[in-house]
Amino acid sequence: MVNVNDDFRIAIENIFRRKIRSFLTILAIVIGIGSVVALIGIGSGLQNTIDEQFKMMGTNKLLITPSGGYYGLGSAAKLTGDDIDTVLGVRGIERADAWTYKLGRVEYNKKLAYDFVMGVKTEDNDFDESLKAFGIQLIDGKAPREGENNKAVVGCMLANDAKGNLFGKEMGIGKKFIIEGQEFQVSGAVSCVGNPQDDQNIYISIDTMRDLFNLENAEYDIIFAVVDDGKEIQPVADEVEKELRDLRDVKEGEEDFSVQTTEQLMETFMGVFSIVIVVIGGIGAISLLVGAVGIANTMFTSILERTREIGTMKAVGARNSDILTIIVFESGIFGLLGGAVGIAIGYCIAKIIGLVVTNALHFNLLVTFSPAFLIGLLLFSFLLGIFSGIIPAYRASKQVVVDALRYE
Amino acid sequence: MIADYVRFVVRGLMHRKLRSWLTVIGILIGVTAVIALISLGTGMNTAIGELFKSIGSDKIFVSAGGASLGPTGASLTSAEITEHDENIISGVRGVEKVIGVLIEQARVQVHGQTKYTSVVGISTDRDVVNILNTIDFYMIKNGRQLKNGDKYKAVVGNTISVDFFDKPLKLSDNIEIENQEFQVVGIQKKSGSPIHDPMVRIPINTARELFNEPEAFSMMIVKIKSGFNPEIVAQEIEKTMRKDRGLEEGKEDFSVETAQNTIQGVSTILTVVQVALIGIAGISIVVGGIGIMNTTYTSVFERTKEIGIMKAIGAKNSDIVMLFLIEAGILGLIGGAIGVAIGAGLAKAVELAAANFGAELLKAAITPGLVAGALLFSFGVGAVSGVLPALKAAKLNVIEAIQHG
Repeated sequence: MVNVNDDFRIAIENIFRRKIRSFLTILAIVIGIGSVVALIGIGSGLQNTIDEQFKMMGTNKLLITPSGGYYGLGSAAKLTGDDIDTVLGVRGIERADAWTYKLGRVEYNKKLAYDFVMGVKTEDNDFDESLKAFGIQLIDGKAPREGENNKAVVGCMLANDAKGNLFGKEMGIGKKFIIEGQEFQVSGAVSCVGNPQDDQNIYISIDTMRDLFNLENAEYDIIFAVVDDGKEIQPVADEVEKELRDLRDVKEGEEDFSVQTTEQLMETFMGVFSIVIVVIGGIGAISLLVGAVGIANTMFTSILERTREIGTMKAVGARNSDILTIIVFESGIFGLLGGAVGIAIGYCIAKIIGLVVTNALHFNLLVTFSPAFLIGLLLFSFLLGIFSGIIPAYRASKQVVVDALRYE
Repeated sequence: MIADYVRFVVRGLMHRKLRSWLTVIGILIGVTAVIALISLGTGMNTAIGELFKSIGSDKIFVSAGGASLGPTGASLTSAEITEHDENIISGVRGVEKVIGVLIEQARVQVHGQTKYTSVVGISTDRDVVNILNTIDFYMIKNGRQLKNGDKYKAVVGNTISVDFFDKPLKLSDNIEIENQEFQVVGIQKKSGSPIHDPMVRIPINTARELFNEPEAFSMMIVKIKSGFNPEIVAQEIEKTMRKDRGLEEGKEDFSVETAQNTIQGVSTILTVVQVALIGIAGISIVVGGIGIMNTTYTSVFERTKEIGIMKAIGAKNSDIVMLFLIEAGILGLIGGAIGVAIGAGLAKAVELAAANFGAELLKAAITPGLVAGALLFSFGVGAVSGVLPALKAAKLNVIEAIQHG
């Protein structure tokens, strides 16, 4: 009887018999799989980037922010020194750093730009420790000491990247520039975060910041709290939330602040991101569906043309299941070939876009594919082909021998 | 002659019903997706246009932060617009009235339930109220507008009164904002705007005290005198403010936009997103086109003998080409027609779903132009896909073709 090897050989021969048709059928799948791979590759590349940045911040951190405000509108709620003291009083909290930030008018190299200015505490080791809590460190020069109100530390892009930064000129140590009309001197630079916004931050002493921007004393925009190593983070976060509720005298569910672990923050980000990726990948997958319909069509045509051949095979003893296997194999191979080429092309497209974005936009787009995803997709395209071939194959296998042999 | 072509084509397509249908399905899936995306995208653009139109084309918006900072810049920037700017702008030629607005996200309590929403401080002067009465978002349904002398009185948006809190809020009910009690004196008409329906409006002076904000405004609405061109007045305002602040052109730390500008800005972003999505969905139309090409190749192959005979009895190459182009075009056209119908249905369904969520301004825009364009386009996709197979058919050698299977 016909064995599986023969089935496979016959299927391959048939594909080569109709070169143009096979090529077009496979091309359709290539385009579909290729666009899905490219879109998902870029999407998960963005996810990797965000993931990387959160990891840099560390998973033992709590972020406390006033809630109610959203971008574009101010919030009436503020964080104060009492909040920091309360957070520090919670068991399991190692340290807590409060920051303020503003978009400030910065002038350098005869250019004016609005840039994020961060106010950081400068007592003792606070400056270095605060930066660490944020996931960066001083790699060059010195932090401003208490009372040094004209010293600033700059992000790595400001310090080193003349082409990419806001001012078109390196802002190295010793350089002078102006924030809100006041002159500052660069005293140090920090390590790269990997996105063009954070890497162009300017860090100054929080006291200087308050004078410069006329801010209320003891008001902060964000508190970073570090949880003791070995402590479980969620119970500490819950405790912080409870203590702050008591301090501010608000009921549960009516907080005017929010306490988030870095992990929660990351999950929120990722959740939104995953939806976007699924929607875009889904729209991309429509073309895959169209490609599958194309395979089905090609298979119908191909069995129609081979009606007599199929009749002959049956006449010499091929069972219905042999016919079914041959046709399903053939259509599975269409899917597999299209999938393999599509994955290769989509992979290259995503990698190229990743490189271009990383180099041209200073945004670390880490396009990576897990082997499991690629193998899974290859398997999926094979199955897609098989699935598209089932109805044509079933139809072919059920043909009556005599009718088939008589077919013109 | 054309009728003959069509008869030939239709006979062929009917003869291979299953294959023709599968080919048509290939195209219609893509067209469905693209039509749904286009009509919803256009609808969204129109909805945003509506929002601004109801504010009026005779209004100019001034806010802090240069345009380069983007929408998130305004609240974080050190630059401010203050009552000083209000005075300066009032002096610009063509300006009728400047309305400074202070907006804060604040804690609002009703019947013991706490939520956060925008609280807006606006002047209670009679001429300001008269202008507010002409803007959809600020019109009153029940009760009255705020007036001079009101201190702890509030006007609430429609959503606030109906379902923002568990219990509905009625006239003369109390509402607590940042622990200060206010009395509701008016309820706004439902405007359909997701920004203005859930807001609480209080007198500007009360807001200044409450939020500890002595001078600054979040934004200013400038009404211009009739007969003046908003674009020119906006330029004049920009120049005056630049001079007052000693800034060079291009380095503004404030932005002046006409309603028209603002709409365009938002539309541009929306259009970019829309084009990207349509582009991705459009890939499936390309794949569908490949399907048509494939089917047409097969059809040429199957009719080799027929083509040979037609040529032998005098058909020109151009006749043969035309035949298969029409066949391919008709496959595209049928796919397009069904795709338009399904896509339009899908868009309407989304419109209904959106209305359920309170976004009643969103209307799927299925215009005759869009339908006609889609049909023409899908016929075109079909015909283009048919070019290669049709040329192949035309080049067939008569003798070999006649001898074919």
